[in-house]
Parts: sequence; structure tokens; C-alpha cells
Amino acid sequence: MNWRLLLGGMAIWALHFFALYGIGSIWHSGMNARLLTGLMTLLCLAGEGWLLTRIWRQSGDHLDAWMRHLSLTLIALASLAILWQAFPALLS
Amino acid sequence: MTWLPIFTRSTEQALSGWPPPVLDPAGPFASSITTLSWILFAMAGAVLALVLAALWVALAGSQRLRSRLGGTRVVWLAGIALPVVVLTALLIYGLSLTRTLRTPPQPSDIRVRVTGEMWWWRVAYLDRAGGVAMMDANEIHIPVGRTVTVELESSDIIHSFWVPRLSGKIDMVPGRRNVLRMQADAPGVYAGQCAEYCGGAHALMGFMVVAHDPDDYARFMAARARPAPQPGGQAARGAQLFQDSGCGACHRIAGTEANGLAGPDLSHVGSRRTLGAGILPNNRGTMIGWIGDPQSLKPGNRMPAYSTLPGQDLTAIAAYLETRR
Amino acid sequence: MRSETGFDPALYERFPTRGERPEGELEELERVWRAPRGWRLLTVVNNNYIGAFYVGAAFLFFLLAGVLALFMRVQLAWPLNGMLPQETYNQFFTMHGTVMMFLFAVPAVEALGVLLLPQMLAARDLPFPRLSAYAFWAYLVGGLAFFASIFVGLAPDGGWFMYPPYTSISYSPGINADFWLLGIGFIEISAIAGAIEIIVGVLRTRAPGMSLDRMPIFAWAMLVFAAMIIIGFPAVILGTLLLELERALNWPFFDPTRGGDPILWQHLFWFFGHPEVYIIFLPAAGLVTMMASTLARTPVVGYRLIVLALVSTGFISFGVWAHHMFTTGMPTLSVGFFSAASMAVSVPAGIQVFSWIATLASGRPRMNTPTLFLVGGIIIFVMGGLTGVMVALVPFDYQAHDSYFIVAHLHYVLIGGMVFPLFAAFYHWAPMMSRRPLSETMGKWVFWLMFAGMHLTFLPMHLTGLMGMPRRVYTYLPDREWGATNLLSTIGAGILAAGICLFLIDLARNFRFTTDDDAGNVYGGSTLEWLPTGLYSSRSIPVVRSRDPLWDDPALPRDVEQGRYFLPNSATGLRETIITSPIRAEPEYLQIMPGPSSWPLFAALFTAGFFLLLTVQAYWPSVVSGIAAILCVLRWLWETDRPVPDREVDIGAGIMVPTYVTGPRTHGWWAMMLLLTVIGMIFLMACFSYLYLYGIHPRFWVAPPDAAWLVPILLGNGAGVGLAWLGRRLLRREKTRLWTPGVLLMTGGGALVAAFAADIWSWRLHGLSPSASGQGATVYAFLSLQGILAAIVFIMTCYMAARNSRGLINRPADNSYDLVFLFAVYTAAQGVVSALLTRLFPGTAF
Repeated sequence: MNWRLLLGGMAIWALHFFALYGIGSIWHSGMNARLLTGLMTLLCLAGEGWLLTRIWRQSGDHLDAWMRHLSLTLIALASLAILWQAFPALLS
Repeated sequence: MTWLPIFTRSTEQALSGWPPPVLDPAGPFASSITTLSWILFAMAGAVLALVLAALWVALAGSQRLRSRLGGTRVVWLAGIALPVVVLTALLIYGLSLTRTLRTPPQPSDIRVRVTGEMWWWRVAYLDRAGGVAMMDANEIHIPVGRTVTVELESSDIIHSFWVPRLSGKIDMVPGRRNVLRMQADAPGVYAGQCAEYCGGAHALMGFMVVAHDPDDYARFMAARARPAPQPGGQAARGAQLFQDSGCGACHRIAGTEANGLAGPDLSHVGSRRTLGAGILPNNRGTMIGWIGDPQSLKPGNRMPAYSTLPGQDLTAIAAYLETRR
Repeated sequence: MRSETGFDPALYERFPTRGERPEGELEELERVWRAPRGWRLLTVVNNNYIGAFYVGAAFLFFLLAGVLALFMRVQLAWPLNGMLPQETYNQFFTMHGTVMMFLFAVPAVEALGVLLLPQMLAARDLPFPRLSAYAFWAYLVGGLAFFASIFVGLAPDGGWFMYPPYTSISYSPGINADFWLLGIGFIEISAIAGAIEIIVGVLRTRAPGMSLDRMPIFAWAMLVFAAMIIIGFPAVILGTLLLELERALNWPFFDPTRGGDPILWQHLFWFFGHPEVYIIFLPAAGLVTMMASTLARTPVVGYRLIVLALVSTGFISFGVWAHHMFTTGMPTLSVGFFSAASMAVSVPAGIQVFSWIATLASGRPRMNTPTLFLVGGIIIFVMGGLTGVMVALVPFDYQAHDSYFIVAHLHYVLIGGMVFPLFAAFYHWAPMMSRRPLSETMGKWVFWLMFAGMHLTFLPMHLTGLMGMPRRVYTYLPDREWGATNLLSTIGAGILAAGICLFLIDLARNFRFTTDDDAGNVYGGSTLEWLPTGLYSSRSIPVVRSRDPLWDDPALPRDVEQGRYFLPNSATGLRETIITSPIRAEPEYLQIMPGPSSWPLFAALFTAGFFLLLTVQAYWPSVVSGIAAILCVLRWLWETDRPVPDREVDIGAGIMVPTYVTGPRTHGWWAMMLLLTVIGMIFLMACFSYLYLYGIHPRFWVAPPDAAWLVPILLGNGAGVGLAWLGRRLLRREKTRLWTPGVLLMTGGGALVAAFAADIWSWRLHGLSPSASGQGATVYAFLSLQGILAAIVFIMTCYMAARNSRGLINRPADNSYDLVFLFAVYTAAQGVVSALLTRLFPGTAF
């Protein structure tokens, strides 16, 4: 395990968030913005999934296992936040 | 100096302060937020009760209860699962409500442009095409039951337009035009206030929204559209003094030579309920006091004191302004 | 067991060693670490002293800002009270917020880090002790001078958020606003210095064997805290720089009539400002976790989940800044994104709260003063968190924003999330550095007064806000019915203040500072700071085999004190600590640390002088003071990074490690990378400002200078890097004549300056004035940033050339050279990117 895998889940969240901020700032609240938001969300969720499979295959000693669990929960939380961030495209 | 209750709330309300304006909505925009508020308060109460109960068990509960509380399962259930469910529901509710509140202006809306100034409000009633139909200050008259689009601008620094009983607030930002929609369902006077710190007399930057029955509103606007009568007697002398003292350099009075735009428009000042942007009741005495020494009533405001004018001249000017209804 | 560095973990089994340590070893350790006495104590750099001074200074600012709050509460006790005039009140509330946030909250938690971290990690000291001393003195002198502005009526009055245009020169012509911009900008430098130190300290100076999953939670919290400062503070540093440039030189960043935008400031300010709240809260939450475990005498429940919460908060808190701007008229969709992120950030908070409760439940908590503060703090924080969820919902925020509801919310969050934990920590950790613990009896009174006073002050404010009372008003009219709740709040503030006064009495009666004969582990803590310690922390540095080493190995304190672990002596006769690897904490090398020096103190005084003299517009004295500060820093560095006689030493049980290491694994390299991250973030924020202003007002933009100008700019920057790289290679040769590495490096520095000169020259010829438009202002802001960096590189390269000529250079590689090289590479890269950005985007496309 290394720190890139550890922080990868949250890094994708950050990418998603700032992309959405950019989309909202450029295209305001129109249909284009909503579609792009949805697209970005799907991409980032796919990214989280890819990271998940990579981490799933890791093995090692107690510390590796600990970091692996931590990474997985970080991915879960990041995915939740990404999902929530897509709500405005549908609802507001 | 006398400070009188200006706003129309009943005596019991004035004594108890309950319900507070945010929870006492007078129109659909504010009342949808009030509903949300009560749901949020209930949610917060329930969660707080849960936390307090858990803390109580942790500190003083029986061994059996404490051992059930003392593990990661509780963190997963109460610290993760529960918040995720509650917050998802709230987020959906909040976002949908935001969309409703931020519906773009409709053609049927009444249009008013309000410009934030240090420290008062410039009000322009707009016609369908967006032309200025009437100018006023610190008071907005609207008909009951109609949605009003308020176009918010600022001529100097950032202010924020807030009438808690009619809607939430939106900022007035120099270089931008923001839009706020509001509606009153009952006739009355609704207090408003600047909510964004704007230096100096920010605390004393109030205004009011007066909601009329539709007929009353029509009569009111028609009366204002008619030219004001020629002042006579003391008021005529006041009109002359107003001109000679240079008041017109900053203040506009429709139909006269006074066309200054730096200060509030005084074309209809006689019919306003307050002076000094919502801080004083409007009567002869307060008007004389304001012209003679505005700085002691509202420190820092841009109006110079006319303390050199003798009392009878101040009275005459006040009498003239009273006629501008 | 795996290894991270090639170190064999089986070597840990050699500890604790057997047999007596040689005579005189402990005495030498004490001699090496002895603090200077008398007035020379001012030159002390050891974390025990600097940390204690730091906590003391932060607490002083807490009291000062608290006194301002009391004045404000009295003024608001009833309508139209005339005690404080309008302008005084506006200065008071500005100073209250500013001092509490910048001079109390952040420094206080940073101070606790400086004080506690080396002991918790069993490091001898933080990795850059002189930097700590510099940061502390800069903060103290700068902070006191800033606060003093209120006594002469020159205090800023634009609110702690300093929104332009009110704070622009047209509406705030006095130097009050400059006190804020320069004073706070300067104090942020000290916060960043501390953050770099803490990151390197936590990741590289942990006791051997203290892998990431065995780190005390406080260390995790401080790691996230420091990383957030590195990412968040640059935004406000750039913001203050831009606003000061607008005020001083009329560059219209925030002026909408010339293509600026006041909302840009709000973005920059809140990109720092909201993470700031978590920057304050996370360390305090780390303390709560550790104290809950100690006071309940049980391991932390959900350690991994708490780390999850800390790390995720560190990220998500950067996605919530605009929830302070819901009412500015942002697009509905964007507002929704920020609302969603604000929801997401409350999930980690929930995790922490329930972990604390579960930890308390799984043990047997004693109801002593720290526990009371802990539990009281949790209750208050939860209440603040719940109102936080409310205002994260946009429609509710439309009503609550900028009303007293927010005042109540933020005080609940900060007092529950930071102040109560801090008081718990005072009681809990006082025995570590005082001969006597603080009084339990008085402590309970302190708690109940503060707890009751806090609720009485802030609970009614929720209602006051719902009644329509806006924030930051110096008075209110009687007809608005706000009198009753305000009076209650004022009475509550008095009770809260009484509790704090009682705490001061307790402190005066019982707190007796000491570094060696402290009261000890009265609460039975499990972590390494409770080992017997001196100025050098613990006598020997233990091997950490679990999360609660003192509980799991009762013999540990005795073994450590008898020198049976790592580094029981001073291996080189100098101050030193073991640098370990970041994940598994395996010993890598021995860091030689600098000792007491007066130069950091002088450097801090002159830096403060530079900023303060600039504020009062004494430009030439200010420049002189600035040059003096630079010379002091160079003088302090001159003594460092010297060749070491023993290339390898025994750090205990026959384990040999090097004493001089170069390259990417050194602590200096790490610190430089962090510094470059800070500078890079400042640059990134400048890029954001540039693009943002283009997006708002494209009609003000003109075509850039001819693209041919890119040739000299790219060549100059390339040559600079190339020459510096060549010099670095030449270090491997024993003999160099005229073209020594130092001379090559200096020439490279000159090339970077030339590239900058070409850039600025092209814009001068082009004719775009910085005061003409938002474009001109941001282009010249880029140039200013680049000019500062190029000047620093040039000074650094001259310094290296001087070292080279004096033979103060290590071959085949030298750390100081490497660091200058890194800085030069970054400078060249930034120069290239800003030249490309300003010329190619939006370019001639319009």
C-alpha cells in the first residue's frame, strides 16, 4: 500500500468537485451544465470503482491491511459525496 | 427623541416577541422556508436527544447498556448510517425548494428596482418595459397576492436586502444585478433591514415593505402619479428655503428644480412612514430634528447638518416636505 | 513484517537492551540540550519553551479578544445603548473576529502541536527548531502590534472578512484596513512555517516502529491540520496581497467599473475561511479523542474510522467555501454543489462524535474536570453542528445568513469544537509541564460557569436571529423586540467571563512551569508524552509496538529512562534526533539539529518591522528592516548544514545510521517541497483570479504582447535551470576552479532574473497599465509574484556561492545546494506557465 492509493479516493472527489464548480461557473444552470455534471459524475464514480478493484487485490502485513481498510472506507465516503454532488443537476 | 412602534404587530406579539418574523411568514416564499425550518428544528431536536441519551448511558448507564454502546457498531449505525439517511432526505428537500425559490422572474411579476446606498435604499418602480415609472426611497409598496420581482443593485458597496416575513435575503453587489422574488398574502407593513455589513451606520439601514389590497394599491399608485398641489403659506416659504439652502443638489422632488440624485428622492416623502431609512417615525418634529442635526440621529450618514437655519425655517421646510405625498 | 526502507524490523527485538549505560552519558545529553539562562532565554529554540510561550501568547489573545466581546455585549444589552460609539463598535467586532481566528484559534492549536508533538512522537524536538522560534516571535510581535492599533483608533473596521469594495481605498481611506491586510498577511507566514514544521515532524520524526496505524490521533489530526494550512492559507495570502495592491497602487482587482469583481475576494477569502474552521476544529477533536481514551482508561473505539473522518474532512472542507456566499446570487446549480458538499462534510463529524461516545461507554470515565469539559464540549459542538446542517440548506440560509442565528451557530461550533476541548486539554496536560496539577475543585466551578454562561449567551441568539436581527450592528431600535434576548445574552457573557476569570486564578495558584520535575502522569495516559522527560524529551527513544505503549508495556518508562532504547546519548555530541520513514517509521538517519540562536529572534523582529513600517507608510525604514531580516535569516542558516565528522553513528544496540544524507528522503527536501506547494497554491489562486476576471468581464480584455517575446522568457528560464543542474553535477568533482558550482548557480539565478526582466519589459512596451483593467492588474500580479521569486532565487544563489567560496559545501552532494536548486526549478516553471497563460489565454481570440 502506498499513500497514492490511500488518498486516491478523495483525490477523485476533489477532481469531481472542482470540475463541477467549473461547469457551474461557465454554463450556469442550463441543460448543458446538467448533462456535463452527470457525465463527470459517472466518470468519477467509474474511477472510484477502478481504484476499489486495485486496492481490493492488495495484500500484506497488519499495516497494509489497515491502510487497505482505510482506503476502502475513504472510497466509499468519496463516492457518497460524489453522488450527492450530482443531485443538484437533477433537482435544482 | 421618541421612538414609537412603527410596525403593525399586535400588542401581545410585541410583548412576547413570538412568533419571530422568520417563523411568522406572510407570503408563499417565506412560508415555504418556515416549513423547512420547523422540519429542521424537529430533526435537530431528535438528534440532540439521541446524542444526550447516548452520552448519559456512556457516563452513567448500566454495565449492560454501556457495553452495547461501546463498540464500532454504534459508530457505523449512529455516526454513519443515520446521518447519511437523514442528510440525503434533507438534501433532496433543500435542493428542490431552492429550485422553487429561484424560479426566474415571470412576465406577470411586478418589477421594482432597489439600489443599496450607504445607508439607505433607492427604490424605482419599473414598468413592463423596464422603464422607471416612479422613484422613491426606503419604502416599497406592493399589492397583496402578486409576486414582485425585486432587482437588486448597489451603487457603492455590498448590501443585502432582507424582509424576513416575505422571503430570504439576497445581496446587492456592485457591478451585478441580482433578483429576489417575494409576495405578501395579507396587507400590512413588513420590516426590512440591510443584512450585509456595510460599515458605518449599517445598523440603522432599515426599510419597509407596505402591502396593500389590490384596490387600495391602485388608488395609491394613481394618487402618486398625479402632480403634487402647489404649496401655500408656510409650505410655500419652505419650498423657497428648500431651494435656497441647496437641498436640491442632493435630493430630487418631481416637478421642481430639485433634481439631485445623491440622496433619497423626496417626491413622496410626506407619505412615508419613517425617516432616516426606517429609524424614525415621520412627523413634523422628527423631520425638523433630522434636517437640523441628522448626525446625532444617524451617525456617519451623508447628510450635512442644517443647524444654522433658525427653527422657523426648519419648520417651514418640514411643512413643505409634508405636502409632498 | 515488511520493510519500507530496507531496515530489518527484526532489529527492534534488540530493545530494551540489557546492561548499564556508560557513566556521564546522561549528563552529556543534559549539557547538550540545556536551555540558555537569564535574558538569553529569549534565544531558546527548544519546543518545550517555544511551545509553552506559544500557548501562553495564544491564550493572552483569547483574553484580549474576549474583553472586546464583553464590551460589545454590554453595548447590545439594550436598544440604543450609547456606551460604544458606532465606529468603535465596528472596530471592536472586526478585531474580536480577527484576533480570535488568526491570533488565538490557529496559533493555539499550532502551539499545542509544537508543545506536545515531539513528546508524543518521542522525537527530541521538532525538525526545524529555529523556524519554530522565528514563527513564534514573528507571531507575538506582529500580533501585539496589530492589537495595539485599537488603542489609537486605527484598528480595521471592515469585519474579519474584509469584503471589498467597503475595504477599498475609496470607502476605507485610513490605514486601518492596511493594518489588517499587512498584519494578518504577515501572521499567516508564521502559521505556514509552523505547518511545514508539523508535517515534516509528524511524518519523519516519529519513534521507530510507530507506523501510521499506531500514531496518536492527535498526530493524525495535526498532520491533516497542517496539510490544510498548506492548501488553504495561500488563498487568503494572495487575497490580502491583491487587496493591498489595489489600495496602494490602484490595481482594480475588485473594482467592477474596471473589470474587477468584489465577489473574487469572497472566493479567495472563503476558500481559506471555511477550511479554517476545520483547521481549528480538527486538532481539538484529536485532543478530545485522546483524552476520552485516557479518561475512560480504554483504547480509542473506532481508531480507523476517526482517521477516516480526519482525512476526509481535510478534503471535503475545501468544497464548502461558497456556502458563505449562497446569497450573492451564484447560479442555482453551483449553489447546489456547495450545499451537497456541506452535507457531506457533516458525515465525518458524526463519526467522530459517536466514536467519542463509544469510547467513553467502553471504559469507565471518571467525572473529573477534563471529562466535564470534554462532555460539555461534545454537547455544545453537536448543537452547533446541527444548526450547521440547517444553514447548509440553501433556503434556510437565505433567512439565517448574516443574522444572529449564524452568530449563535458559529460560536457553538467553535466554543464546543475548540474552546472547551482546549480547556479540557489545559487541565489534562498541565501536569506534564507544571509541578502541580490544576485544582479539581476550582476546575469544576470553572466548567459549570463557562457551560452555563455559554448557553445563556448563545442559545437566545438563535431566536434573536429568527427575529430578524442582522449581525454586526452596533445598536438596534426598541420597536423590534430584540431587547429581551439580547439582555439574556449579555448576562450570559458575564457568567462565561466569570468562569474564565476563575480559571486564571486557578492558573496563578497552581501552575508552576517546569521542564523536568513535573507532576507526571496523573490521569494515566497511554502515549509517549507521559514518559519521564527533559528538554530532550525522553532519555532514550522507545520502539513503539502498539497504539497505547504505556498501557501495554508497564516497564517502558523505566527502560526508557535507563537508556535501554534508541539514542540513549548524544551520538555526535550535538543536538540530534532520529529521522524515520513516513509510513512505517523505520530509522533512516540521524538529523543534527541547531541549538539556541539570537538570529531567528532578530529575523522575526525585523520581519515584523518590515510589515509594520510598511503599514504606517514609512517606506524606506521598511525596506531597511526587510533587508535586515533577510540578512538575519542568512546568518542563522550560515551555521547549519555543515560537514559532519562521523559519517555513520551507533544509535543504540549497534544499529548504525548515517549522519548526513542528501536527496529526496531528507527532511530539508520535504520541507522545501511543502514550501513550494504553498507558493504553487498562491500561484494557482492567481491563475484562478485571472481566469475568473476574464469570465466575468471579458469586454475589458485586450490582446497580449507578441508571442515572439516567449522566446527570451523560455530561454532565460531554461538556461537558469540548466546552469543550476550543471553546478549540481559538478559537486561530484573534487576540484573545480573558476566555474565552481556556486558560480554556475549564481549565473543560473541571473538567467532567471533576465527571463523575468524580458517578461515585464514586454508588457511595459505593450502599454497595458496595471491600473487600466482587471487584466492589467492580474498580469502585473503575476509579474510581481515572479519578481519576488526571482529576487529570492538570486539572493539564495549568491548565498550558495558565498558558502562555496568558504568551503562550506558538502561533496558529492549538498543539501543547501539541492534546496536552492529545487527553488530555482520551481521559479523557472512558474515563470514559464505565467508567461504562457497571460499570452495564450484568451490570447487574440477576441
